[in-house]
Amino acid sequence: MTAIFKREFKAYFTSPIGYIYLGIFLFFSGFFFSAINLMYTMTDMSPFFSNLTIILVFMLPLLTMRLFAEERRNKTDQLLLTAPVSVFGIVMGKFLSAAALFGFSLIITFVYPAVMLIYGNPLLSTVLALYCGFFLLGCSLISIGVFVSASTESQITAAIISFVILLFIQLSDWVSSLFNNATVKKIFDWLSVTNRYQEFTDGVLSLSSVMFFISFCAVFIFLTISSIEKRRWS
Amino acid sequence: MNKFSEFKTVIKRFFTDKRFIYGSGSVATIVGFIAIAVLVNVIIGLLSDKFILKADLTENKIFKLSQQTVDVVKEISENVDVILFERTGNEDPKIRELLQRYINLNSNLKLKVYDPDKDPMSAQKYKKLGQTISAGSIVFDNGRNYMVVSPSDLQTYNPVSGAYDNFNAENKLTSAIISLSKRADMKVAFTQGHGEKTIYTAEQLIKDDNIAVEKVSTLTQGFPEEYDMFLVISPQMDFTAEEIEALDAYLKKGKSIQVYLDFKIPSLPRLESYLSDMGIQVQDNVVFESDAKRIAYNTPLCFIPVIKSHPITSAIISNNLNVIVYGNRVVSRLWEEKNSVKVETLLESSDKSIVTDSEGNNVKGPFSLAVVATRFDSENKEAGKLFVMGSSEFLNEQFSTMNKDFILGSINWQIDDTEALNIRPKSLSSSKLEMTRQDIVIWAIASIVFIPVIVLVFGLITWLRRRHL
Repeated sequence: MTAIFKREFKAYFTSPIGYIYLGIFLFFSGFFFSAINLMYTMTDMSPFFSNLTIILVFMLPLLTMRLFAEERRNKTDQLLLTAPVSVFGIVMGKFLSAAALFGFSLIITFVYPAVMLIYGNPLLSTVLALYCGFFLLGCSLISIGVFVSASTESQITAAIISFVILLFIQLSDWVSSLFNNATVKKIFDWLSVTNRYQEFTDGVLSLSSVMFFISFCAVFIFLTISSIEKRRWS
Repeated sequence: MNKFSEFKTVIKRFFTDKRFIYGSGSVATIVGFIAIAVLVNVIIGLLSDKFILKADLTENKIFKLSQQTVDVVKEISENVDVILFERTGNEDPKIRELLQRYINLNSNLKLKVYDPDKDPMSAQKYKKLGQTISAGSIVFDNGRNYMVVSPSDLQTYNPVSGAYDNFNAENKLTSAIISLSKRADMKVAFTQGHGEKTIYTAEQLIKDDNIAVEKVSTLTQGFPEEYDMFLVISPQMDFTAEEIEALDAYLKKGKSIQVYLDFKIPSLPRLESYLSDMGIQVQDNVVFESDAKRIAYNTPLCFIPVIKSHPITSAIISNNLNVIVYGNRVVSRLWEEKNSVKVETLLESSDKSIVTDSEGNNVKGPFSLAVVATRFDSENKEAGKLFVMGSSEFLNEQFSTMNKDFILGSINWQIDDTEALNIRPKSLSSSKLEMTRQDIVIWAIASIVFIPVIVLVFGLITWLRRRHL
C-alpha cells in the first residue's frame, strides 16, 4: 500500500496535474480569503469554506480522474493487479495519495489563519474544526471520484461523471426539497454530505458527523474494490 | 426426459457459473457492507444525540445552556411538546441543535417538527390573534396552555452589519417555558370609562405572556381583587373620589397598578394628587433630548433613556439592551423613602436633555421618566406597587418591540416579584481583524497571486526539467 501511495503521490508532482490543481485551488482559496475575511476584516472562516466547497466540485475530479482510468488505458492495470499487492492496498494507496494532495493544499492555506493571528484573535479551535470538516468532506468526494475512475476507461469520462455526481451532491438540498414524501426527504437529508458539513460550519464537532464521513469513504472504497474484483473474474 | 436433463444442465451451469458465484457473492457483500455502515451511523447518531457527543466550538459557546435554563428545564414535571415549525429545505441547524440540548435535559420534553406549509392544520392550532405561526416558530404546549416563540425573537438582526449578530434563543425559550408553567391564573385589567387610550399591541404583548387581559369599568365595578394588576393608559377624564378610594384599598391589599400619562392630556387633579401621596409627581412638560447619540427617528422627543439599576431592569442592563421613549413627561420622585413608601427611578433622561419650565426657561436634565413606588405595611411587608410613566407611547406598536422586555419585566415584577430571566444573548459575529487598507491589499495580493504563482512556477520548472531529461 505504501509503495502505491508513494508512487501515486509522486506522480502528481512529476506531471503538471498536481501543480495545476494546487495553483487553481490556491488561487480560488486566496480569492475567497481576500474577498471574505480580509475585505470584511472578520475572523470567522466558515463562509470562506462554504464558498470553497463549490471549487471542490470542479477540482477534485482533476485529482481522481487518472487514478485508475489511466492505468486501464495504458493497460498497466493488469500489471498492477498481478503485483503482490492486495486490491485493498491498491485502492487505499490511490485514495490516500489523492487525499494527501488535497490535505497538502489545505496545509498551504494555513497561511490564512496565520495572517489572521497577526491582526486579530481568530478562535483556533473553530478554525481547526472547519479544516477537519472540510478535509473529511473532500475525502468523501475523493472516494466517489476514485470509484468513478475505477469504473471507467477514459480519464475525461471519469472527470465528467465525477463532476456531475459531485454537482448533484452539492445540489442535494435542492433535490431533497423536490420530494414531498417526508421519509424520502429524511433519507436524502441523512445521506447529504453537505448537510453533515453544515454542522462543522455551525461550530459543532460531532462524533456522528465524523463517523458519517469516514463510513461514506469506506463504502465507496469498498465499492471500488468490488468493481476491480469484478473485473478479475468477468 | 431429454429436455428435462437439458434444463437441469442449464440451471446447474447457471448456478455453478463463476460469474454467478462471484457476482451474487459480491452483491451480497456490498449490501451487507452498506447495511453495517448505515447501522453503525444510526447507532452513533442516536448515542450522539442522547449523550451529546459533540463539542461546541463556536466562539461564544452559543449552544451551551446556562445553569438557569438547566434548573428550569429539569423541574418540568408534566409532558411538554416542543413543536418546531420548519419549512423543509430551509432548516436552521442552530435552532435544532439548541432544542436538542433542551430535550436531552428532561424526558418530559418531546420534540415535534412540522412544516407550516405542508401541515397548515397544526400551525392553525397555535395561531393567536395578531400572531402567526411561520417557519421558524417554536411552540411549547403542555396540553392546557401553549407559548409561542416567534423566529424574530431568536436572533437579533443588525441593519448596520446586515447580519444576525446576536443569538437570543436561549433567553426566549427558557422564558417561554417559565411562562408556560407559572402563569396559569394571572389576570390583569385595563381601566375603562375615562377616555383611556386603547393600545392593542400592549394587550397582545401581555396575552402572549400567558396573562389574561380584560377591560374593567372602574366607575361601576371599582377595582376587583380578582385582578392582579390594573393598567391605566392615559385617561382623558379624572377618576372620582370613590374610585381613588377603591384604588387605594386595592393597592393596600398588595396589588399593583401601572399608570401611563401622556403629555397634552387634561389635568387629572384627583389621580395626580393620589400619585403625589405615593411620592410621585407628574409634571406638565415634555423632555427633549439633545444628545445626538441618544436621539432616535431624528426627533429629540424620541430617545434612548438611561436605565437605572432595579430588579425590573437588571436583565436589560446586563444584556446591553435598550428601551426607547417618545414624548415623555417628567415623572419625578418626591422622596426616596417616606411614609412607608419607597420610590425608585427606572428610566432617566441624559444630562444633556432639556425641559422648558412654566416660565419658558430651559432646564437641563437628567429627568426621571418612569418610577415605581412600593408601599410597605406595618410589618414591613410589601403592600402594593405603583408604576408611573410619563408617556403611553412606550407601549405603542412602534416602540413595544424594543420595550417588550421592560414592559413584561415590570408587570412580572409587580405581580409576581420575579426578576426577569437574565440569560445574555450570545454574539454571533466573530471578532474583527484590525487591518489597515494597505495590509489588506498586501495580503490579498500575496494570497491570490503570490502563493499560486510560486506553486505554478515550481511546477513549470519541474516539467521543463523532466522534458529535457
